[in-house]
This record gives sequence, C-alpha cells and structure tokens, in this order.
Amino acid sequence: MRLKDEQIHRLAEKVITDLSTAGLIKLKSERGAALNAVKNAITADLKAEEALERDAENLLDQTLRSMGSGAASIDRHKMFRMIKEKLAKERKIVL
Amino acid sequence: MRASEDRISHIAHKIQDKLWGDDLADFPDEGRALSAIKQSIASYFAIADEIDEAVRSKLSSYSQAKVPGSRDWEVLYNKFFQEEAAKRKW
Repeated sequence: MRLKDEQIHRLAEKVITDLSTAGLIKLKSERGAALNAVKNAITADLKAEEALERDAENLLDQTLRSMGSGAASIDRHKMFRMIKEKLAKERKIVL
Repeated sequence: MRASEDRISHIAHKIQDKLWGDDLADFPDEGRALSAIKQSIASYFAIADEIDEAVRSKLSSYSQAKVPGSRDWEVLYNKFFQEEAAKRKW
C-alpha cells in the first residue's frame, strides 16, 4: 500500500473531521497538531512496509539469480508476494 | 491498492494511540472512536477499490493489452491509477 503525501493528508483530514463531526474526539490542542500526529502515525506505518518491500525485492532478485535458467518459469509477482508475506510475519508487520 | 481489514484496524489503533499518547486528544468513548477511525480509513480505501476496478477495466480493453502482472502491465496500471486518482481528487 503506497500513498503520496497529499493522499496521507486527505486521509488524516478525513479521520479528524469524521471524529469531530461525530463528537467522538476532544482535541486538547490545535487541530493542526492532531492532524500532524495522524499523518505521522500513518507515515510511520507505511515506511515500515516500504522497507519490507525493498528487502523482499532484494531477496527475490537473489533467489531468482541463484535459480539460474530455472527462474524463467517463475511468476515474479507471485513469488514477490510470498516473500513479502513471509518477511511481514517475521517482522510482525500487519499487511 | 487494497487494505485488508487487519491492516485498517492496525493503522486505526496506531492513530488513536498516537493522538492519546501525545496528549493531543481525549476520546469520550474509546471503542466508538476506534470504530469511527476504522470506518474513515475503510471508506477512503473503498474509493481506491473503485479506482482499481476502473483501471483494470480500462487496461483489459486497452488496444495494446499487456499480460496482467507483467512489468509493462504494472507500469501502465500505476500510470492510469494516478490519473484516475487525480481526476477523483483521491
């Protein structure tokens, strides 16, 4: 899951607006501070996934290289997903 | 771009923990607030699902159809997704 900065901003805005409209949040500081906190929480989570994807991509390349010509019959996309899921379990990252 | 229910729940917890942990907000009803955050995230990603469907449909009818999952397909998918997302201000 990849989101650009403006998409993270829109999602954070939606979260704060929805909570406020429903009367489910009492802000203790400026709205902007809460908005930034929500953006930071989302960004931190997405960054962990990005690092996971980079590592999965590297591991996939290593694996395919070690397979030599046998790698030609491998579905790269499927194998990437499998490696990513395995790494996520090891790192306790929820996908 | 799809977000699983587990992922949505996980991010919702992170958001609530951050707001509360940084002493930026209180939640009169923590359970309902958490549900509301999950709902906000889910509805945001529901739009992404609509975009995904539109892009896949566009790609399948594309005159130079690519094999789904191939590198070329991914490149075109990402390009069309960004275009559609911008159109819908997502």
